[in-house]
Amino acid sequence: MLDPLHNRATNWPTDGPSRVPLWIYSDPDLYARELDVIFYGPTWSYVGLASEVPERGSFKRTFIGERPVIMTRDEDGKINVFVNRCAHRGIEFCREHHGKVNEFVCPYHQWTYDLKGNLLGVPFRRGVRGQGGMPGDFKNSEHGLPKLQVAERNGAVFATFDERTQPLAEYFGDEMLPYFDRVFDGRRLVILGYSRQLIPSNWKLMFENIKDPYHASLLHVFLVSFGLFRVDQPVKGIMDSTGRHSVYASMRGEQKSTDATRDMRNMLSDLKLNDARILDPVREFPGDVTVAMQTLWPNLIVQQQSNTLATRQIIPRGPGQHELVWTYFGYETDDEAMRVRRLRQANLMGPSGFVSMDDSEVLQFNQDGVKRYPADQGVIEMGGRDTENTDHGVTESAIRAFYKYYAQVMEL
Amino acid sequence: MSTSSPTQTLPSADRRDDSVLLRARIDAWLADYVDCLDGKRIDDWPDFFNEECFYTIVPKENDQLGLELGLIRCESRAMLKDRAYAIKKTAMYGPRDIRHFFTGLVVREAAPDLIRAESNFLVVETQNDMLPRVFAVGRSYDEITPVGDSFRFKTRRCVYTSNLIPNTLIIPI
Repeated sequence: MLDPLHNRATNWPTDGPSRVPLWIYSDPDLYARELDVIFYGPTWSYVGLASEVPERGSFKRTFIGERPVIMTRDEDGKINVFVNRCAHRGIEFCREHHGKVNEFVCPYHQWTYDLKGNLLGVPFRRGVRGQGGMPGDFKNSEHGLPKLQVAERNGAVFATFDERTQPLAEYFGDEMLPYFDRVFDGRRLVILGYSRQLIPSNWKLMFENIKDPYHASLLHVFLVSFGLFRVDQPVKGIMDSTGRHSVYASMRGEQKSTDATRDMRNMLSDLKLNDARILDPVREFPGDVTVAMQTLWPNLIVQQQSNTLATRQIIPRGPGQHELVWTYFGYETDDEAMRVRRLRQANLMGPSGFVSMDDSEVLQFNQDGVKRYPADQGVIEMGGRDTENTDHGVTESAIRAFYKYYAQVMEL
Repeated sequence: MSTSSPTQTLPSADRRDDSVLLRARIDAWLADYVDCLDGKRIDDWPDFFNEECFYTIVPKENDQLGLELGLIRCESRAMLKDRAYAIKKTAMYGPRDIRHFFTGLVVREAAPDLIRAESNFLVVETQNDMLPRVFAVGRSYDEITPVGDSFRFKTRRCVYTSNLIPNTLIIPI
């Protein structure tokens, strides 16, 4: 079909997921539909870590899609997620990222909610001196804050607006769970800090980036020069049965030239750190894998690169930009040396990361290109045209799998 | 209308001149620091620090929560050199012009071997096809060592107020 207003196709190219139509990165109508179908639909969105709300009354303000929500810990020690929008007149009443309260009070007319989002009180409900007041049949119980379904797995908290969403474990699938549980292994998590960046690209480009081991050996001079991730190292690319989630896992190699490094024009094999403490990894997980980057549909990247661990939460902010919230963490069992090691290795990641800054810069270039040529297509053919798991990193199959699923969900 | 002499309420001329002079000297040194960053002489940047030093850029959020994590964390001049090298040789980023504005320098404490100072920073970024934008604003908390007739940072902690970084912070503050 051709959209007469925009003079471009509105469906997926017949070649399948080895072609990506560029209009999907900037089209406002499609974006609005993505919010409804994906972010507010039957998906589990990451909202935070249980350690962020350690005590009764602790809260965290966050977003699912563009919708503001609040995560709290209530009197019973249970985690709740409800909408951050007063049931009265629609005020986004909670403005702090984190805090601790006994109840939430909307500043406008002081409607008051408990830690579960139930409406506790409405000022002047019975009127003043016999005048005004809410109608006699007004019931607090009918005007609470809409509550989301919540699921927690080993300290990571997910929520969904849709009651039909399948159970979390089933949603992740048997292929993803071992990698998820590898980092979230049940130990109590300790928050090390946050960084937030506003990336001027469509949210899907962020996912593509993590599902793309092809670029990692070429764009990231720092990464390849220190052997943190390279195409000539063993790489496993695994997807769930739907193609929406994926993980890339690899083993740190040596800092040496091989026949594969000839194509890595930017590799600096004589690169030496003046202070080696930045890259002083200690093996802490079972097995040989030293880096595992997992993408969980629709808003989470789980990062384990050496000893730097983080969740990266995607918050779409219109078709052309998204916020990426990095929450770095360690474990309660970490000693001081490990805590500092994680803080040092965080130099690799985030808005100023030796590795990650290349990505957010290139995503800006990516958006600048795709938004101006909406009628054209991207070519996703590295490693073939299929969507299978691979035991190497010379592939874009996880991107194809992602778009195969995306096109199906969005009915394109 | 009151005509009382303003000199009566001022501190003694000597002490005041000393502190004005110290502030002016630090201010001039900070101008050299800005000149180094804005002039894209990132190789020279580590020389503004002691060999044993600590440099970090943290969002206000982490600062308030008592969380150490920073966008950049350098625990020695050697680590600053690695950062400078990465900016010059390994990082990929688009062309940009960065201007730093440091204002409101105050000296909190001035011992012979250590000065504690604070100032505001404003960073303005200009990229191609874009108007200049306020990139970051915040306050720096510095411990400065007098070295001969100049200074070096012992610690420099830049706290930015926005929490949100417009894409990437390449050049340090």
